[in-house]
Amino acid sequence: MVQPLSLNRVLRVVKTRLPASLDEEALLEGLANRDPTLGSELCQRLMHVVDGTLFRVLGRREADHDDLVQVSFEQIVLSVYRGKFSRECTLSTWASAITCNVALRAIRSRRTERKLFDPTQDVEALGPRLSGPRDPEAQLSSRNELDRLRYHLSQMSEKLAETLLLHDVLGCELAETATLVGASVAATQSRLVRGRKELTARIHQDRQALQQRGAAP
Amino acid sequence: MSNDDQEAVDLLRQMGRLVVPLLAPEREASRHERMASSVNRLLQRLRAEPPARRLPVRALGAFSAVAASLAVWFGAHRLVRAPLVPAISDVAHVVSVSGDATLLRAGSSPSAVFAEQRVEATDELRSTSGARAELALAGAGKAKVDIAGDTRVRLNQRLAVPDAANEDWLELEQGLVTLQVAKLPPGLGLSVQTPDARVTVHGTRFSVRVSPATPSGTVTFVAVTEGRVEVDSRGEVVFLGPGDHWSSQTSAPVSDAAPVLPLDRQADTSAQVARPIATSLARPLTSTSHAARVNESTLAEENRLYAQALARAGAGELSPALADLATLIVRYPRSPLAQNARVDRFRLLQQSGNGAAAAQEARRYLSEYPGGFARGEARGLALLGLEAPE
Repeated sequence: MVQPLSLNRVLRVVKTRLPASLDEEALLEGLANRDPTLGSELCQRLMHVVDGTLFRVLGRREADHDDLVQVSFEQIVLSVYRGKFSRECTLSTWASAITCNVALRAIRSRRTERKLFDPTQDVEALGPRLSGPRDPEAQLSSRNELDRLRYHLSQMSEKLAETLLLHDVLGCELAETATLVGASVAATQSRLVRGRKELTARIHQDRQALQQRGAAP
Repeated sequence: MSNDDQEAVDLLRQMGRLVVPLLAPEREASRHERMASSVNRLLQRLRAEPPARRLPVRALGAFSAVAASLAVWFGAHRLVRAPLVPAISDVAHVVSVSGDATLLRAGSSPSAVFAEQRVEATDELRSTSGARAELALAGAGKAKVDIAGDTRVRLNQRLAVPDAANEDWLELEQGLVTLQVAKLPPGLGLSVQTPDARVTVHGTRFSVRVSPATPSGTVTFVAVTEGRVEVDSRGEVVFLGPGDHWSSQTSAPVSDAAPVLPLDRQADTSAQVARPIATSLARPLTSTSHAARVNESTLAEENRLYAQALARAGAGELSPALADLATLIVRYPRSPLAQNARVDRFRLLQQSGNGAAAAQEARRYLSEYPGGFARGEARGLALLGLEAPE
């Protein structure tokens, strides 16, 4: 009997990437030795990771997207060169963790530098909305909720936000997340629980604010 | 995981499933080329540095023994002699940089700022419009300093002397810096020195901005997000708490607009006493006492509007901030802050991605202030606005 597809599965069109010419070990060795010809190889291997992580965490490609890509690549190279990459995970996972941090910093900087997540939107449009799943504006509402989610993450402590992003957004295993954030598995589990609770509380506060606004004359 | 948290987890997973749109092949190729050459340039720069040492395990053992001996020797030495003053040169390192930023160091030619670069005492950083740099200070609780575009800031560090505080400070000549500082242990300090005031940290997150103004030369604005800071201007001190803001112009007519504490009363006056004074600056216009003061001097109201716009913008409330600036321009077109407000409006609009409106605002600025301090930036924006859309 044919099993129906679960609703959360989506089909994606993905571009095939050219195979990298160097294996990961050789690439890492080359970076540690500061080989100034490895830029193209590194970008070919990691561009989709860096670009994808930035896009998912920030929600869209904004004017400074390429700057953030560049900052991420520089951080990746420096971390490998300075021996911070312990090789307990793949280079791709390491790159996504570094990019995640760059994106989180960007969200915070944008807030302080008067940039909002989608500056073309009116600020009020970033406020919480109520809409059911069959609402014709459901897609817009979903985007709106994700924008609020990013806002909340930018308000949380770096440790909690980073743990949530690595584990729940980028899908890293708990042990892997622990390695990436430099904490024990138990501490990472605790951060995950606290982070989710705080996020839930913030979402509920958002709803209450909306209801109060709706009740106001 | 509790059921309560399920919604948050679902949203996070939804974020992780976002489909990343593909770029046009030409754009992707061009980006690949740019990033690859940027990485290659970084690797070349690193080649110019001495190699990062990786000590073998045996060497580490020997190193530990030597270090332990040295520690014992230094410990004994300290018992019999007062400690020498350490010469601290590296005061910060660059965490990340985007756009064009330049480092000026005495005795060296100006160089581009790059990630992981060490910043020494008395180095000056200059960022161009739209650029941004994040620094991590070596002292002062590893405070983070976010340097916005169009900013000139110098980093200093007072030498630690026996029985005295070791204090970092930044000299902000122009532009905007935002600092995030953990609670500082006793003996450590951090302050921002502007032409008009000195802002001292007490474990907080805050922004300091210096803008040109006539006739005094500059005006300093401080907005506090978290914690508490102390502003010392012309020998008088005011404490600011979360949500408070302060401007050096408001503080000028001390008795009217911004009562501040005399320095000699600072020591015996608690923050609880000082806070309501500072908070009154941030109160809306509907406040009766504040409105009464406004009638006496429009300068106070101009400052209040401008400081409010700055704080709102800093808090991400873009539309209200733009509205405040517009109100200031319309109500007080002859205000010394009107030019700043006009500049802030086009910068705000540009940063918000609304290029057309920013260009229009920049053109208005050029027509009103043809010799204005931001004319170069405004011209660039105005021209950008005339380019054909993609």
